[in-house]
Parts: sequence; structure tokens; C-alpha cells
Amino acid sequence: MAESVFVGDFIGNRELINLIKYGRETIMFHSVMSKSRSAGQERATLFCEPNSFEILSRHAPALDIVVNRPCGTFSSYSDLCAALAELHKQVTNSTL
Amino acid sequence: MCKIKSVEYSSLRLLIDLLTSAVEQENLARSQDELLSRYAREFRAFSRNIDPELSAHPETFFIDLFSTAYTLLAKKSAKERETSQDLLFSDSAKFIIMVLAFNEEKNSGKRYVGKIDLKSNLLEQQAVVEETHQMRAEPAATPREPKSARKAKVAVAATH
Repeated sequence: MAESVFVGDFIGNRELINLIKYGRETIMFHSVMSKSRSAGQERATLFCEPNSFEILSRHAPALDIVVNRPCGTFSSYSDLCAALAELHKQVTNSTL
Repeated sequence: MCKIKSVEYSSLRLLIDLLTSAVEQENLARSQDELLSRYAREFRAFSRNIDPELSAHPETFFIDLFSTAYTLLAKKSAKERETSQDLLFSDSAKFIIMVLAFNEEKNSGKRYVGKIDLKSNLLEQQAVVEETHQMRAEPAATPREPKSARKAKVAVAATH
């Protein structure tokens, strides 16, 4: 844990104008980043750990973790694009 | 994967942003047609995927909501106008709830009227859903497909 940075969204602040009402204030964690960065990597994009949710799950329920589900494993770029397009459609048509 | 917003969220956010800006610039009364056409234009930019089969509200419902919100903010009675405008700035969620109620009262039985719940159930849904999708068969390679295509794992996470 000392080698990682947990990333999340702060939700439920009643003093901020917010369209969505949450039951309480908390941080919903969704990503884990490695702390290790060298001077030579300072401009490089930092990606989250591929097993972020697995790492976060070890700390539940102490931490609130964003609801998530695997969408599949793809070996074809066209299949990946089709799945993402379908996912986009499902989310845009979902409730608030 | 970038955050994707639902049409419900994006439309209400657009409604609030446009009307807040118009009230701040004190040009609400002068720009009704301009505001409505701008709302419709910007709404269509993110609502192309609306699908009635997925129980989404139709475009007309969101246009009606904007029209109702505008009517509340531009009422002739100064007291009613100030009350609505104060609510828009102090608590946009309560303002939207008021707009939904007025819209239902105005259009119920005449036009489509939907419901939007502003209370998130994100905190109650934290149990990770184990849903494994069967890996799809790999079709013939296409020009867009990299030769050394590696398997990519994709997960979706829901935040607002």
C-alpha cells in the first residue's frame, strides 16, 4: 500500500451545488497508481494498475469502491470497438 | 476508459448551465427563442444514442423540461420569479425536482411525462458484480487491426 496511490472521486458534499444526491460524504475509489516515478518519466502518461479493483477490493468495506464489472476480454480490435460502442449506448440511455 | 454521462444527467446539466448563465447576464426575458434553440442544438450533440427500447425518455420530454424551467424562471410575478431563481443558484437538485413536478402538472395526460430520480444508489450498489462475458471469436483480420493485437481486458466503472 505504501507503494501505491489510491484515486477516487469525492462525492456527497452538501455545500457544493450538485445535481445528484448521495446518501453520505465519501470517496469512491476507482484506480490504483504506482508511486514509483523517476525524473526521466515526469512527462510520461501515468496509467492505473491493471488489477486496480482487485487491489481496492482487499480494503473493502473500509473503502468505498466504485461499482464495476468486467466487460470481456478481446483479442480483436473490431470486437473491442463494437463492445465499447454498445457499452456507450447502454450508459447514455441509463438513468441519471 | 473516459467517463460517460447518461443523457438524463447531461441534459439536466445543460439546462442548469444555460439558464444560470442567462440569469447572471440578466438577458433571460430577451432570449427565450435563442436559449431554446441552443438547448435543442447542444442536446442533440450528446443524445444521438437515445433508444426507446432501453426505456430512455424521448427528446420531446427534455425539451419540455427546459421550456417549463424557463417559464418558472421568467414568471411575471417578481416573488415567484425570485423564488425560482434563488433555488436555481442555491440548490439545483431541488430546482430540478420543482421543474419535474410543474412539468408533470402541465403536461400530464397531454404529452409524454417521465420521471427522473436525482438520488444516487451508487453507495448501495458496491458489491462487485461478477459478470464474465464469453470471449468472442476472433474474426478475420481487417486493415485497422494491428498485426500483433494483444488481448485487451476492459472493465467499466460507474461514477457520476
